[in-house]
Amino acid sequence: MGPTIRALLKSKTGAILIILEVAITLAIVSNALSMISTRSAAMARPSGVEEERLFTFRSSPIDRNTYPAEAAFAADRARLLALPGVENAYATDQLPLSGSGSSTSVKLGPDDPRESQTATYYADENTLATLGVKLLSGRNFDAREIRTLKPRADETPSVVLISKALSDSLFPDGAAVGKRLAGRDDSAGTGPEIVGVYGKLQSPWNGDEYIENTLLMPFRPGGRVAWVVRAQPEAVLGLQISARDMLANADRSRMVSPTAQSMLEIRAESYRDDRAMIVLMSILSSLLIVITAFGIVGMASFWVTQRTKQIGMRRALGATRSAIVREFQLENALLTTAGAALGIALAYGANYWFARQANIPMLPLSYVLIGIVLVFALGQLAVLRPAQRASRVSPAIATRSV
Amino acid sequence: MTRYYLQLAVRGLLQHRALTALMVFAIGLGIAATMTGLTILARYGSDPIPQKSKQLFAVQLDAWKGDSPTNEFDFNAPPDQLTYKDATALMQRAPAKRQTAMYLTGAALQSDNAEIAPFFRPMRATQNVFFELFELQFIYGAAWRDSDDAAKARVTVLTQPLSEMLFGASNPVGKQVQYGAERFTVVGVVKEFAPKPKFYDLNQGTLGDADAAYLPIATAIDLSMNQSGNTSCFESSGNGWSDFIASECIWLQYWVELETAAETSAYLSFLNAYADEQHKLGRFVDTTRNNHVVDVKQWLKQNKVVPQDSKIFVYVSIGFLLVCLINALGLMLAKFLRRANELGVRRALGASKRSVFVQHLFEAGAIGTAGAALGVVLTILGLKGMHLLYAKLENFAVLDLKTLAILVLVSVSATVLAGLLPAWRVSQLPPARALKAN
Repeated sequence: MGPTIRALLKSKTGAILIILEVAITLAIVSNALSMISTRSAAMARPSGVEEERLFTFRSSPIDRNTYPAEAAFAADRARLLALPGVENAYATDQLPLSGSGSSTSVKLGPDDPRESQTATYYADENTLATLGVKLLSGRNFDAREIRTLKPRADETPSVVLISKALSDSLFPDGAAVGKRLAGRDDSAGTGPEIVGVYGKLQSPWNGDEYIENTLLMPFRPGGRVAWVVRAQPEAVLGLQISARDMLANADRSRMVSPTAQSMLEIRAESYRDDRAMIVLMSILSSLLIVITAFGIVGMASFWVTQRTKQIGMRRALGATRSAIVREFQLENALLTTAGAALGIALAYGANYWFARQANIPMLPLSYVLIGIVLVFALGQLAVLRPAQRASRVSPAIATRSV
Repeated sequence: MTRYYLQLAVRGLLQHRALTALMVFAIGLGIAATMTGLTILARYGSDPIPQKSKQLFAVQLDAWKGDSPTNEFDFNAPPDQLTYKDATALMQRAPAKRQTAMYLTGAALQSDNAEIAPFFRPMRATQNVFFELFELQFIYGAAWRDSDDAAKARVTVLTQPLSEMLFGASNPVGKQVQYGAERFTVVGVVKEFAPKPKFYDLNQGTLGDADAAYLPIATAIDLSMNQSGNTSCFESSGNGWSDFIASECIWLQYWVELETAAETSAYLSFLNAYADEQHKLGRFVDTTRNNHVVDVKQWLKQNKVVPQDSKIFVYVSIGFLLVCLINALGLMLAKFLRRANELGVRRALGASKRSVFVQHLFEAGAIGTAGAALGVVLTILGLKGMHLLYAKLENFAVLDLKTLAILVLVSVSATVLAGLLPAWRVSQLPPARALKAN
């Protein structure tokens, strides 16, 4: 170790530069890894619906005052179900992951500590079957319970279905079915009755803390509706176009959105920024690693040239080739250790800074550890070639000039 | 002398080409990453209406009574939109030359040309002051009259793209268009008003679509044309449109033009007096006077229009650039010191320390210049890549000449700065030792 440290002290500038490079690389790579994994985890959450089977498009009455919403709904649904490949369909206000929707807070009575925020969807008796969401307990809506609401009507439903997550937060120790939510005036037992609990159905907002809390109301929009159509996965692409066109042409008293969107497209759009960030962080981290590696190679090669005579001397005095290689490897390990120590501080400093700016979780130690392993491996790999070159320095060099 | 240094610099670059390439590549990448990020950040942070941004203010009234926050960023902030009650009261009574409420709506458009199927367009319901307030440019006709606002007239101003779609290049003033079931008379055509960020209504996102047409707010309310932005309510909005507009729900944007500090404080006093008055009537939760007028710059800041991800990308790319520069510094040091022998000869033949120093600074500058050239290409590619990743950035985050100039300047000066130490070190080498070694 003695000669290694002495050699480093002789080329302080180069050593400091390598330490700094390693430190910044470690700080960036560990934070990038953490960001990538947080976002991948968010993207991997299922929405609860059978995405590959669903597509949607909107239909808005041209004259809302004269539009026969209920009759038009029934006629349109029959038209959709008549298309080969279509399995089911319903009309709603909003969809999971679509980015736009309604939310409200629900509780069981005044000052309920379990008061929870939840997204609300309009739904009917075909909603669960269309989306492929499982009813866990209680019953589904009955067709007779479904009411068509005027635009901007803010009515309290008599019955609701809630998601498992919402049920767990409102009733941590028991059955939700049969219980009533608080009424408009917060009084207990006067609000809608919970008639069923379903499994998973996410809210429209993927960044929402309460993304798993949803509530279905037995309503159908009387103005603009979003049709949700369920089909065989392989038929979705074709039906997206043909079903939309068919409805648009069947009745000119309403306007159908120019294109239909599959649920997979909605998901991709919803997580677009996260995917972009994953791509960007991966690219920057990879390039950073390559550049740092080449920096180490360059510096080590220079040291080999600079110390040719000393190496020759040591070889002449009996140092083996592997001893020379080890010396360079040890040197690099020392530099990386110093760099990693500084890098840990930088990594947490950067994490603290990012966290203050944005909603970013604390950097888990595991990613710093992965980063440390990475910079060590990188350093050893980068120094290998120059070290081998050093080990081939002939002992005879030592005799040429002093 | 400069020419001689340049020649030496080029010759220097051509020695150890792999090292040179590595430095140029790293600097180019670092510069490009940083510039790509900064271009996006600068665009988000840019002033969408520079000639007037200091006179335009968003109005915030604390009409909120519930315990849920309406502003996701600041629980103490008053709501960022107004109730219809307050919006109409302010339009009638508040002391300002130009002010208006507005909301986003839309309608199925039907052309008299039967070949064009009905299609949906976003429209803005507002008062005629809107056009003066935000300085929209009329191509044909003019804004509707004050009496149209009062009379709930079926009049509309189209934007150029919509007008061309419906009427071609001809002047449509006086012609009719059909919104839903109602016929409207076109009174004017404006150039599309698409400020980015869309500061006056951020509900559809920072880079929300431009409005396609404008119509009097009184008309839109009369026709119960639904609002398509954000609505927040702390109590029921009732059953249907007339309940909704009478409700305590907040859903309208409100902007006022105030030219002097005196006007601003008078306006604010009015807001507080109004709030006190409403409080006596049983509205407005308390008299904390959490009412504000907020200028464009502060409004954008308050609404956090600059995406966090863009900021993080810039921080990371600055770290990346730093590594690239440190890398270049180290490699330059290695490269220059390898020339010890050659430089020994130059020094022995009479070159001064200073001239060796300057020679190497030129070489560093040359590396920076090459890095800048590569950086320009990579920045263009980087922004193209960003457009692929974030479709909304297309036609928004584009490289301008100013950024380009900064890019070259930063690249060259940073590299020269990084070259200072290696150049100084190499100029201090004693010539004798180098000569002896040969």
